[in-house]
Amino acid sequence: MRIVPERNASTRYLPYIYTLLGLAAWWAVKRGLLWPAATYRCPLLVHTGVACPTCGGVRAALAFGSGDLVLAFQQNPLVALALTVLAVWLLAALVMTAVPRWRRTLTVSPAEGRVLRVTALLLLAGSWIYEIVRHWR
Amino acid sequence: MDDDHRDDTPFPPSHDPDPQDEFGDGGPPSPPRPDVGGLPPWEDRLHHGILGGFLTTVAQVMTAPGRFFGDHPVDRGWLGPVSFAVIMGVLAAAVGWVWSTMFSGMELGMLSMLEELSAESATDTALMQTFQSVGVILSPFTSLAFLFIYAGVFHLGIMLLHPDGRGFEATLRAVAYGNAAYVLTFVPMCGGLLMSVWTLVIYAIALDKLHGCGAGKAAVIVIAPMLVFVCGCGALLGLTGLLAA
Repeated sequence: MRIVPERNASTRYLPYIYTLLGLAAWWAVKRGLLWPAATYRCPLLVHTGVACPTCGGVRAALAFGSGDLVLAFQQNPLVALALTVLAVWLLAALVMTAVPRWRRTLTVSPAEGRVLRVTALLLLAGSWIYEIVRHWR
Repeated sequence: MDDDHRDDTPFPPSHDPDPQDEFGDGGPPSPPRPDVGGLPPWEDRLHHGILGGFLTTVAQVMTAPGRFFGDHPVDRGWLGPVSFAVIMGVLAAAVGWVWSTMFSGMELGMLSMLEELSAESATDTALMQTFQSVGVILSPFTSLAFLFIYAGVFHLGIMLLHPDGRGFEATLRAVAYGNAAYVLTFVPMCGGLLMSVWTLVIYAIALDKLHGCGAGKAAVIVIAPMLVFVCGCGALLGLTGLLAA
């Protein structure tokens, strides 16, 4: 992995956009606008006993927003990890926006890219298996 | 005789007009035009106008998406594609609201004629109308949000399956101009269904052309999120059933 000078500023705006979207969704869920009551049970889970990969994602996001990282990772590890990465990315973007000479981009070699891709797929599969096992009747 | 000193001008002399001399009268050259090579008409509004640029872009995306995205710049900024997607989203929401109002009014009229109009169905219809009206008001924000959600999900797919892609702007442009298919919502009744299918087709074509990832990978990138979250569970269930049997 190499850290090189920033080539495209638009990439730095992405964490702002996705954080705003995430905050809007978090606020809507907290206000009960986007998500049914706590007593609601997912029909797929109730009828099949099989969880989908996003199972617990909203609860993980709510826990993450409340600062309970352990609960967030228990509810859905993948969503919690994605939110952690987004938070770090946002922090980096804020610092780079404030200090122009620190504007850098992370680049990876093809081999490192392959490793990252395989890791991402394994994480997705692992998270899904965890959700299925956790909810298995 | 020394042929090396012959005049190299061909005979008859070819007519090669000055590209700046529009009228061929040798008059003063017109100011140079900006380089707009490959720009979609919506981003070349100086020549097409606002309405013309918008309509031409919609027509080109709907009728020849391969050609439209085949010669498409991916380094001209986000403003053009984002504004196009937002306008398209607002128009689709507004037209959806018009159809909904019209058809629910007709439905209520028919029910009252048949004397089967209950207070419940009237309340449900009124509630639906209110939700749709709020949806139209919020449509600039929701279309912007969905644009970036779709682009983000598809770009994750590009990063996983085709790491040599052309960056996030290419994906954003694919989704933004792919939303031209929202024009199908102008067709009453079946427009929504047509739109959902054709939008996915255009997304796949656009990702293929803009990232050069191939049609197969583009289709996987577009359809995989749905497969993972919906059909994946079904497939797993089927597999479990088979194993149990």
